[in-house]
Amino acid sequence: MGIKSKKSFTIIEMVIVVGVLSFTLPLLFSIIFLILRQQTNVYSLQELKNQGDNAFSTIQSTIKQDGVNIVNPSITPFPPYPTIIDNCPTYPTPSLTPAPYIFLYDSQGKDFSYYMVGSRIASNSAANSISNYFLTSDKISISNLQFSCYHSNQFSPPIVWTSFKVSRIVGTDPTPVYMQYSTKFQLRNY
Amino acid sequence: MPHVIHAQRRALNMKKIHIAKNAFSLVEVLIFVVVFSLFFVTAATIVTSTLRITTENQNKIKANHYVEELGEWLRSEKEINWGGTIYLGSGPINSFTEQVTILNPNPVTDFCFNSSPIIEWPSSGTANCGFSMDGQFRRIATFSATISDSYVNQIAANISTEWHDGAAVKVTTIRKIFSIWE
Repeated sequence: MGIKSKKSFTIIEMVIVVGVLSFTLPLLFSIIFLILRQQTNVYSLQELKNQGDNAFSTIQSTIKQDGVNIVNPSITPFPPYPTIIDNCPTYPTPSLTPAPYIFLYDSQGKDFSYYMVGSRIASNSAANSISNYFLTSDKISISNLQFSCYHSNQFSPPIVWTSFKVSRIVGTDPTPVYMQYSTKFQLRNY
Repeated sequence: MPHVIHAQRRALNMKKIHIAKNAFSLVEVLIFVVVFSLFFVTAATIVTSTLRITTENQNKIKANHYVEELGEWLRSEKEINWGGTIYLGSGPINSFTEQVTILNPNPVTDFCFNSSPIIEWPSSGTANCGFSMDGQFRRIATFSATISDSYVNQIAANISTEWHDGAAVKVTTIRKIFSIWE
């Protein structure tokens, strides 16, 4: 009987094992959590940059290459569509008050525009049957989308200024990760 | 009776021998501790390096964005108002080329662009350029103009973002060439 009883663990042994596990397991899980959170931060930043870069280059290249007239940026880019008159003031008249949308016509008289829908950038072109084509996903948030324009002199092409901020809140961290985009460029086909 | 006592002693001796067999030897314990330590040291090294690499990756992504942001801003400045003339040392600065040839006749100029978004040209010089952008970065652009007959043909810009990674200073750099003929 005595020999058999020695094959089981004593209460002291069990207490020591449980005590050691109660120290090591939380430590292990907190390290795993820390690594996962760091990886999530990297992924979020990469996602922000990818989508921000994509939206930025799309807006810039289409407006620069295809835009001919910037029309009535003081009204929202929805029907009824404005008359084709270039509205950008000539320097030293101050630039137009920045608006969260821009409305243009290309060389064939087809309209296209960029504007905010919720927290995303959308494009619209009634002439090309495109409605609310989103440049960014709902995983990130766009804020402060702004467009403005001016002519440096009477005969020069309009200079378009645009700016927006891309941000994303990661997990329970209240500090959002964000990136700022801003540029100025002249229309090529004015 | 003596044979009974003898049997009891023999039984006790057997019991003692059995108890001794159940314990670990010193060598076994040492081997276990060494293996266990090696495992934990390796795991700790992997965790530390993983955390360091992910932090560095985050900083690299941000630094890339900062150099690209400044590169884009400089491109727009060049596109809108190239100029082509050298700054003569007095009067207002009227163009991109004048802005980056302030130190004429030594046409190398550096600027500290520590604000984002970039609104305007900062004062030249990087003596007071601290790591203040986003709490840990600083952004510097160094310009070098190629001048021919008092006219600027080309401007090379080295754009770098620096940040501290422990004791080391990490740098992300891009080089852009600006010319009126682009």
